[in-house]
Amino acid sequence: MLAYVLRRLLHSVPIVLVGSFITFIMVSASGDPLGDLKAKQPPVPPAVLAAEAHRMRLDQPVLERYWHWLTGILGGDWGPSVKKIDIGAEIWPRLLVSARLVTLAVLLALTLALLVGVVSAVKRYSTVDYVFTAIGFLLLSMPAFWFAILLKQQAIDLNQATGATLVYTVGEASIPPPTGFWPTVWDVLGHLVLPTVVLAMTAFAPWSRFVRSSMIEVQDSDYVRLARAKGLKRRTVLIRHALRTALVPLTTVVALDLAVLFSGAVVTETVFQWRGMGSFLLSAVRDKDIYAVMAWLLLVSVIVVLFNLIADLLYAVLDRRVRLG
Amino acid sequence: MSGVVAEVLGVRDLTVSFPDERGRVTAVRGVSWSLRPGEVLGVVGESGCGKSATALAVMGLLPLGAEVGGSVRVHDRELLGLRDDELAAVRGRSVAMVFQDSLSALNPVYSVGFQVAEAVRAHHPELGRDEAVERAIELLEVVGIPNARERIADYPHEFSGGMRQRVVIAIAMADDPDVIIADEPTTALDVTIQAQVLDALRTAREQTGAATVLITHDLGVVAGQADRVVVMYAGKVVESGTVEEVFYSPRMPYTLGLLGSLPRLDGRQQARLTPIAGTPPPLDRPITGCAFAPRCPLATDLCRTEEPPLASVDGEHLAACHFSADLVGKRPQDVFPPRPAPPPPDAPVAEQATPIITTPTVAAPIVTAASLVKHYRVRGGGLFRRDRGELHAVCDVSFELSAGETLGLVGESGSGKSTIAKLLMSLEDPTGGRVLLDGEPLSRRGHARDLQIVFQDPTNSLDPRMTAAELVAEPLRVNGTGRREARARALELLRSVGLSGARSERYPHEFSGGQRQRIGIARALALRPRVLVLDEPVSALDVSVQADVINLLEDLRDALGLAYLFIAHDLSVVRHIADRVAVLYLGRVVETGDRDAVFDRPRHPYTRALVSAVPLPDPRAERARERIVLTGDVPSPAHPPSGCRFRTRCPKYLAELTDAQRARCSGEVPALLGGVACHWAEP
Repeated sequence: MLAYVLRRLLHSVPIVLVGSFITFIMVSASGDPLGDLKAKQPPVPPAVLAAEAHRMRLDQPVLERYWHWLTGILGGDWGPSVKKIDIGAEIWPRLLVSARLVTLAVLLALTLALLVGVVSAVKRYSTVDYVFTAIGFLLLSMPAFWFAILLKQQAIDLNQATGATLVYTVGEASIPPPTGFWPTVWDVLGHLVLPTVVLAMTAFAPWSRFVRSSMIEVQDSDYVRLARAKGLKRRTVLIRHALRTALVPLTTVVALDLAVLFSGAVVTETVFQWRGMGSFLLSAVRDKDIYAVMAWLLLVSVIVVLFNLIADLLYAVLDRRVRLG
Repeated sequence: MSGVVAEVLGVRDLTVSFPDERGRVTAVRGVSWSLRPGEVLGVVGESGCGKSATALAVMGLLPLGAEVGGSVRVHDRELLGLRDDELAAVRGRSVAMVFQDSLSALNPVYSVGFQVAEAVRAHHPELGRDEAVERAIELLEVVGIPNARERIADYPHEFSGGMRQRVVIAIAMADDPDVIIADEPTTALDVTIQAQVLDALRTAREQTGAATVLITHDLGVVAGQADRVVVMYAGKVVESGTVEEVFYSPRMPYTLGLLGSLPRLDGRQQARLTPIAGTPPPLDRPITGCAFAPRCPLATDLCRTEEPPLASVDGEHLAACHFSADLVGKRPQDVFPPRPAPPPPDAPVAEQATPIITTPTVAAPIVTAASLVKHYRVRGGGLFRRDRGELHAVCDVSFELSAGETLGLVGESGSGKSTIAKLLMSLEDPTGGRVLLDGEPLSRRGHARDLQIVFQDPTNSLDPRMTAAELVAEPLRVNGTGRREARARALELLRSVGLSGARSERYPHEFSGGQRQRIGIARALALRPRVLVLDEPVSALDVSVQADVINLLEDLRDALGLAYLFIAHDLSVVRHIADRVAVLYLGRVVETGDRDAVFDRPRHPYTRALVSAVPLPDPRAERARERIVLTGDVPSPAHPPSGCRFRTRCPKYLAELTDAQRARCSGEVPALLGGVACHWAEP
């Protein structure tokens, strides 16, 4: 197991490297970071432009730039920014803000998907199943940004109708933040409600369908039949034999969807005006701030690779037939 | 107690129907039988006859949407209509079940000990975890799992098929049931393992005193195990009685046909099998008259309009046939006329000048396998995945094959049979040795026409998007034949395997299993090969259909002078079709020779055990036979035993030999001398 983890981690290094190289080339080719500066009226003196190009390492060939960027990151330097921000200092707190959202959304989506999936599978072709199916497909076909705007507008209307801020609709925390531990926690949680619901729903829809179909498959399996033939109670069979086994493939699905969730978070955060990874990426792209874009891509790709590894390990723990090797 | 005879389990007028794309399929159409205390009731029939649906209906385990009618009584308590929690109290305690496929019947994510202990606690929640585990270990020891205490933490996939099936039997025994329903308990197992599992099942019966319903398609197993037999066809019981009545004086043509279509290992049989023409009727529409009438040579208008009742023909011997009285003393071949062989396609190797030699006496071999060796690399885990050694799949195998001759290659799983087929077809490169064609080494392209293969699974080996004619024409097209010519030849080939006319334009799923295998055979013949490699060609087929395909293969061989390498695990089939036999064990030939010599006077201890483990469809002969039950499983080919590979399971090595003699077995690989590879072979 340990040897497997080490080997997989070693495998991950070239994957991330190759990925970062390709994205670096593509991002570098996506536009001139100094475009805004050059377009300024009155024109900026050429000396300033040259100095700025040098600071942004644009006077180096692209391979050299990549090399400097890569070695810089190993030393904790995320590279220069067009807006002269410290990318490293900016991105870590934002990652935490987004991670808070994604984690909570995953937990909510998983819980609901399991509940709804199991109920639909057990009561398959019943009214309950049809209702859940309809909701599932509605959510599947609804774009996240539209759902987010819809929800936000409803919340604003509600707040206005009651004359009090029942649900927070803007930002990840109040400005200025409340003092004291518990007030802070409550404030953060309050701001999480709407974005979490939006993000969770985008994941919930496919996951609940997945749980339903894998529960249906497992329910017709021989081992569930044997478990019932032993004389076990229906509920015991359902949870211990059917659900436990149906969970195994879900780990892979969740891990793979994590990348989708991070991009979903970008949209959700934008609608709710969070200062998370989403707005970081958007402003970096808008400013053609290549090193900031690269920082975002690198972090997310590491997260995706890491969670794929975790899913594989979890898979082996959940199903002993899987031989790591 | 109701009725005259006491019964523990009674099924009356049971009907089961399932929803289907086209409506409802009535899988069971009014089945009645009763199980008496302590007896073994064999339920036989081909696939789709409703055997398993009956069993699941008794257990209340039919899938959602199934409708059940009639009555199922255990100790006079009606089970149909009970709520699921009420049934849960009956399951495992009154009626326990053993499933066919032990790999899918055990939950892959729980340890074996947990799953047995769970069965123990299902009806005894007052038992503690440790007590239940202790009982589980006891049960596993009873069914013959070595080192049960150490193995309870292992997972199902870490057990061999035979061991897993014992675990399932232990689970069935867990709460001392009154009835054990065993649904095809040995079907996927090798014969020597089947013998072990049948022993374990007998132990379970003796320990619990349970009466047993033994559901199987294997008439040999029923002949050896059952007291009474129920024969099912198209969802109905068509005959029932004691084993002797049913096997020695069948009074329903279907039973007679089944017995006639079965090849027998003891060679007491007519030269040609008597297959039952046609296939069972579809059950998604009502059947008028006798369901067997379309396939029955005796059928009259009466049979086609009026359904015969299941009536007594002799005391408790029941049969459902209008003409059961006419069947007294009839042999299968008296009722089922031999079908004329279809016209063969034009002779092979037409471009070859020499005529085909039909007498295989002095003919030069077409194919020679010379000291074939095949090793596979096994990679280990660890950081650098070093090679963990080699898997010795085939070890020094030599044989010759002449025109018109059939060489049977028999052995259990892991014996290397299929690897040999792949080596012959150049689908794998040998690690050592060579395959010669007419004395010349094989070249990949050149020999393709001469060597063709028929695969085991006719469903997976046919492209579902091609019609029968396209499938058969494909090898011709690939080899440069024009479209029109290839098509004409394909139709001719299909005719020669008994598929004529419009059927050539159908797709594989529109054919039955036997017909699909015919397409596979026609395709193999397309390039006019001289040698057919038949890799388990009939093992996926029902008995009556299997007989038909065997007859076809025999006809084609005789008409075209083909040479067959017939690979099978079913010794009876091999005995029927082969001229010579080679017995494989862990990649080595342990015995070879003329088929009668090998099967009647086996000299290698493994062959002796193998032959004795094959059940005969003859109750008296089967029960009178002395049986050699091998202990343990086949060792892994990655770590074969030193010296003689069979010694770890050899009854001679384990019980008869002296230590000095044993040293020779473990130190020296026995050479294949006089057709047998054993240092201490029987004379």
